[in-house]
Amino acid sequence: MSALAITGMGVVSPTGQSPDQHWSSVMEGRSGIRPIGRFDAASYPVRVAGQVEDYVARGSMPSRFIRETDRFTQMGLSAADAALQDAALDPAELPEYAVAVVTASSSGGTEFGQKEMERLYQHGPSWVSPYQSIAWFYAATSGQISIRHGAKGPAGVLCAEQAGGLDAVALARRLVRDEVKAAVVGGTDASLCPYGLTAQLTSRRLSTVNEPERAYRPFDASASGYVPGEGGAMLIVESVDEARRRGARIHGTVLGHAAGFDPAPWTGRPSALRRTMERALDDAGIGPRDVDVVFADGMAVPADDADEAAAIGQVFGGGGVAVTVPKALTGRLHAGGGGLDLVTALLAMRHGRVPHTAATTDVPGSYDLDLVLDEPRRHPIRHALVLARGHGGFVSAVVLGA
Amino acid sequence: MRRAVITGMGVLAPGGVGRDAFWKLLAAGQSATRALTVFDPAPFRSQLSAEVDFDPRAAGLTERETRRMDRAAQFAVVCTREALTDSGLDLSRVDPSRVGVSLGSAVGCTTSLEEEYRVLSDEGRQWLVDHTYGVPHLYGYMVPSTLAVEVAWQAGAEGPVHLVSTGCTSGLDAVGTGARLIEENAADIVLAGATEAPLSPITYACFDAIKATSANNDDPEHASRPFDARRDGIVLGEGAAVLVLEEESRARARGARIQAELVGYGQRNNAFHMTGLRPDGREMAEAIRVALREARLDPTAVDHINAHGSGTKQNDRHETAAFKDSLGDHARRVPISSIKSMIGHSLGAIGSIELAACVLALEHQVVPPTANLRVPDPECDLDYVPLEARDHRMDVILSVGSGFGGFQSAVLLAAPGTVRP
Amino acid sequence: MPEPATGVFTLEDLRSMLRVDDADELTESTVDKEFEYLGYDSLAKYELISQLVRRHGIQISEETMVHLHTPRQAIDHINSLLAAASDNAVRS
Repeated sequence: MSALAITGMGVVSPTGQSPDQHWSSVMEGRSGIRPIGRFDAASYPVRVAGQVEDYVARGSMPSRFIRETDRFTQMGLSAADAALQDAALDPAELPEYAVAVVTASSSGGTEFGQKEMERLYQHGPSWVSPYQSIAWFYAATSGQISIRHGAKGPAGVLCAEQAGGLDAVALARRLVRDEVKAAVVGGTDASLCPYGLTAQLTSRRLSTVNEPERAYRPFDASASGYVPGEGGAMLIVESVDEARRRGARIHGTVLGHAAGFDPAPWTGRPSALRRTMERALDDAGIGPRDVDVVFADGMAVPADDADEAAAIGQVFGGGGVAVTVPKALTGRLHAGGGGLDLVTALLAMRHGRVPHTAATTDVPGSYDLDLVLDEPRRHPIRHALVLARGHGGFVSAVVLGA
Repeated sequence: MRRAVITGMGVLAPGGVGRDAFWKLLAAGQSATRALTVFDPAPFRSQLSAEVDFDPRAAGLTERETRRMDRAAQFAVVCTREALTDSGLDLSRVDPSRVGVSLGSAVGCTTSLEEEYRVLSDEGRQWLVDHTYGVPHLYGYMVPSTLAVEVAWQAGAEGPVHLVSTGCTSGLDAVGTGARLIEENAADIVLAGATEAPLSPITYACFDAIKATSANNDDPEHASRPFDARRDGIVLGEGAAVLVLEEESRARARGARIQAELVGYGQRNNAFHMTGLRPDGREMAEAIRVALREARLDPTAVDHINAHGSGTKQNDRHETAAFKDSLGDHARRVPISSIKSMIGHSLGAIGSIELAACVLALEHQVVPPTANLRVPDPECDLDYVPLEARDHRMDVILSVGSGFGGFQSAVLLAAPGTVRP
Repeated sequence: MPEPATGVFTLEDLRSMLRVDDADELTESTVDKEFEYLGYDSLAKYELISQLVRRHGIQISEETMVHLHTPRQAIDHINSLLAAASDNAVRS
């Protein structure tokens, strides 16, 4: 399969609203995790989150449009606009069905949905907005991006919680191989409303440490769970040949992907992590020694961290590869997480720097993990492996090359 | 080249549980739509539904499973069990990492999310909902991918697993995407299908607000009337179908009964409007052409079309135009039906349920009818089969879907051995 | 022409019902442009119908709404319905 070029990146993240802003936050270890500001979280055990505090969808979109969509879709549209601009690609200039749109969705228009359910139960059915039908469902962002940019190729929507963003890239790769010239691909999530937070609390993996700098510490001896976040990223992908033909800047290439699924907890069977990483490397046609950095999932739940560290050790040898979790600065963005990790990895390759895991200080020796701490590490990166795990057992891995 | 064939099927549709009851209803042209009973319909404009008479315990689910799972997950798991049994697969002899899941759903676990919201918010009184009442599985309801998790657990799948959520084409796209997993060698067996249990107040309020649902509340059995001049909207339904997709040579090697082959899949977006359709059906026609191209079939090879036929004027005309555009003169010769006239519109699930109907139509060589089609809309001037099933020789069936978000999908199924050498 | 009485439906009311908060969107200068041209689709019209019932208790049928092509036509029609409603209130 001809390699897939990434030629556009758009970011809406707690760490910044462009790839450059995001990268400088990552390099400086500047966290986007802050006390929750969108509602009064005093009565909840989790009071910090990764928030895009100064996000304004306005400017490029009419106010009417903003009232018709949930924040997750607005962020998806902002990121898609930026990615297309970065790629200097205008779907209108391509043949009618030449552009696909694939998004990952983890929880849909949660805040919009809570508001409309409130109107339903407080006032009755006639108070529910006609826009509820198109704002709440998981396909909202793919549909709106297709309309906004006249993208009439296939439109996909995949849900695998945090793993969905990487699965979406695999689907886009297949579409570029088989039927389209380019794809807009990525994901966003914005479920930081009271009902969204309450639902996330029941996963029992959220950190209840409420000091932002200590709340989310992947692979740390004092790891206490993860912090939720909002935002995500969109990418433009096309074949390397097509990108070269039109003289586009290639940020990097997708060389391999694999997806797997952890067996049910009561079976006692091992996690799919190791096998999925190995299959992604096989798909890319490279070996473990060719990989210079692993962007780990980093749940920050001790049992999950131990599992992941062990799997990385099995594939790369104990301490055999640099590992990092830059999402410690944003919290877990669910459907938005995979896309943002890919952006971070592409920028790391460009700059020859492995980001550090800013919040973590003390990695248990038993993990036998070369987690990059304290400051970014200068190192040329030929290949990066990005790993994601989704609630319930989803595992997805993408191999990037220069 | 690796190809996907169907070796097992489980279906749960309004009008009767299981494959046999489902076909009996369709062949009889009997409508399962009725007055809504699952909650008090009084404040709603549309008070109609196509409900599944489902008792989770009788269907084999344990008390714990029933508590954990949203109704849509319960449907999916019961269908998965039926499909696996039907396939004759011995899962203990299959490498779990080569088994995948591609499940579709448009609205996920909405019903449970809404029920829990009512409790936590004290019937909408508190914006700052009370987290102390959060049930353990609430996050599982918020992320629709949980539906795929339950199916994966049921099948012991450890390969690629995902939920496809492209609105009302989810059920076609999940099966189309599942077949791709086999074709590109990511899996040998894929549980592919879709599930939906959307019959809750917020869903009815949603569709009321855009007047997409039928308000023909005085005549529930005849409310879903695709292609009829008197149709006035969708009748919401629920249900699920799960297919066992298997790599062809593997299926043949184990002597499996191949029920149908998946020979083509196409999907396009109209990039036009979130709920509106262009009258010319242009993008659905293109999706059909893409599917035909993949199958290397001429339009004349299509022996029957399972239409989207949702029961809105906009859809019926859009679809009629799409068939004429993509199949040319042949469009006038193909018998076409909408089984939504009988089992309503179960949103994301319907595409898979309709594929199950296509498999059964191939098996019986019978085209199910469009019930309630008594006064044909003159604008829908194709062979929409009214009222009674029709014996018809069929090798290839086209099934199409159209949904909010602009999605247009087409899947081609063929009787075993008829299209491929 | 009598002066508009208080409570008569204005462009500002329409803007509020259609959830417009951009100052340069839906203004006096575009009041005669078609809704479609201004970017208001069938869903926006459904929103307007349901808000009119909720806030003013008046019903506009879908058929009538289809024929209200511009913001001015919608405002005039709503005002005629409101006037008729208040006449009835006075007489009864």
